[in-house]
Amino acid sequence: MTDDEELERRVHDAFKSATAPRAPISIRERVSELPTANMRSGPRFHMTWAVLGAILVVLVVAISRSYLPANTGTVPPQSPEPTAQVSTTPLSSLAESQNAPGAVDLLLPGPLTGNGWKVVANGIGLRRKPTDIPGIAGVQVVAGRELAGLHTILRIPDTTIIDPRTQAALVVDLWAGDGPICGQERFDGVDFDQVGSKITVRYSDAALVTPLPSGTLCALDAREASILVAIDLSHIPTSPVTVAVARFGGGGWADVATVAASFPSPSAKP
Amino acid sequence: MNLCALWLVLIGVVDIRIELRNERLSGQGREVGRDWFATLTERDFDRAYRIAGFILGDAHEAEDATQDALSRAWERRHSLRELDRAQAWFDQILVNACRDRLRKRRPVRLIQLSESDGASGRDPFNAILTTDEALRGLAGLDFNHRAVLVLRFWADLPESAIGERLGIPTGTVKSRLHVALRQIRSAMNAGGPT
Repeated sequence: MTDDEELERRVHDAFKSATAPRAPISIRERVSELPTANMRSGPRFHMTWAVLGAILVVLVVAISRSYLPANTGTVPPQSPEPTAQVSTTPLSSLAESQNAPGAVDLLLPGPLTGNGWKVVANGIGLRRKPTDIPGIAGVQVVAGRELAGLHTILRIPDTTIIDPRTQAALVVDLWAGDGPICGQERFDGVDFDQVGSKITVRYSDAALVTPLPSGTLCALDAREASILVAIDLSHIPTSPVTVAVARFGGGGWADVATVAASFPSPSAKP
Repeated sequence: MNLCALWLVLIGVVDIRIELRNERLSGQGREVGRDWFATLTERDFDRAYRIAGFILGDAHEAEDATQDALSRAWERRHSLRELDRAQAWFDQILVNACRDRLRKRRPVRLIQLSESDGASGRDPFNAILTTDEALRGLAGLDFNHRAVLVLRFWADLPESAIGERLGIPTGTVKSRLHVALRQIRSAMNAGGPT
């Protein structure tokens, strides 16, 4: 053993043979106080980003005012007003639970029932991957025997939520929210066009109805809010039927998705 | 001008999305840090207190430094991503807390071992460091060399782990160990701290 190794061994042994005192009780007490004394309730948000965000919001507002003088956040004359029963409860229960703390709810309350249709579930779950394009919606028609597996697909506990003998289901996926400015949407109901053999699911850009406070930040990506709508077979036009999703935006109503569907007659058995 | 503004907006949106993603990741880290705090035992407290005690040579300072370190660790628990790395993560915070303690009491008063015959009876760490001939030389070491020595021979950490905790290369750890041991030897030969 060299002198250096011998010295290392001596220092090591000296440390190990020493009876060092135990940690005083005050240290343990300090730890027990930590969750209430020093806890920060949320993730840190750097001041730099806050300032940058504020600058961006100002820039966006300035640009939108200079380029889009007509879109000033007021309600256009042809803005749709829901005439059916209006719920005061946000529709997107799941979307709400997925929001970051402090984020706004992306789906505003709208009508829950109307002539020949009824919202039976909402916030069903993310069935498709989110995109970065807000406002892109989809609709899926489920009828007849397919309804038997609906509760499994959509993770809803009640298997009798829709009666396949008299009803069909529309699974409506609305996209809302992206980037620093939230894009809220409002579900507006379902129209049946017997002459045109068309069913139209309507929703609108909520900012046209209730503009968000200036500078509101949306702390999440584009979020899909799924709504399950039961429609009465007795109200469905003669097949083949076109099912469309129409969105009311700055340029008025526009179909954003259409699917062709055929429905069983009300008397048909699943 | 307007194109520049639009470009800034696009850059800003990308940056904010990256920041929000990082916040989500740090959210995962926060849970790991919280979990680690929940698993702390008496042995962990004793270990932290003793490392601080041997580095600072003073029980009261060690107590304060350990409490400081635990508070800082709690505040920074978001940065802990893996439970396996918790010990190294906390040791680094503890050593920094010890360094800050020494800075606060500048001019550095490591341990006045030459005057400590009476004091050794009062402070348990001081008593240990004055009793053993091989440890007496610690009084002459600065913080960097003392911390390396304590982590190597009391905490039994390998040189690479010491470098990780002190934020220095392994080669620097070896160099500091060599210097520290040389001074210890000189102190032993001289019968006191250099």
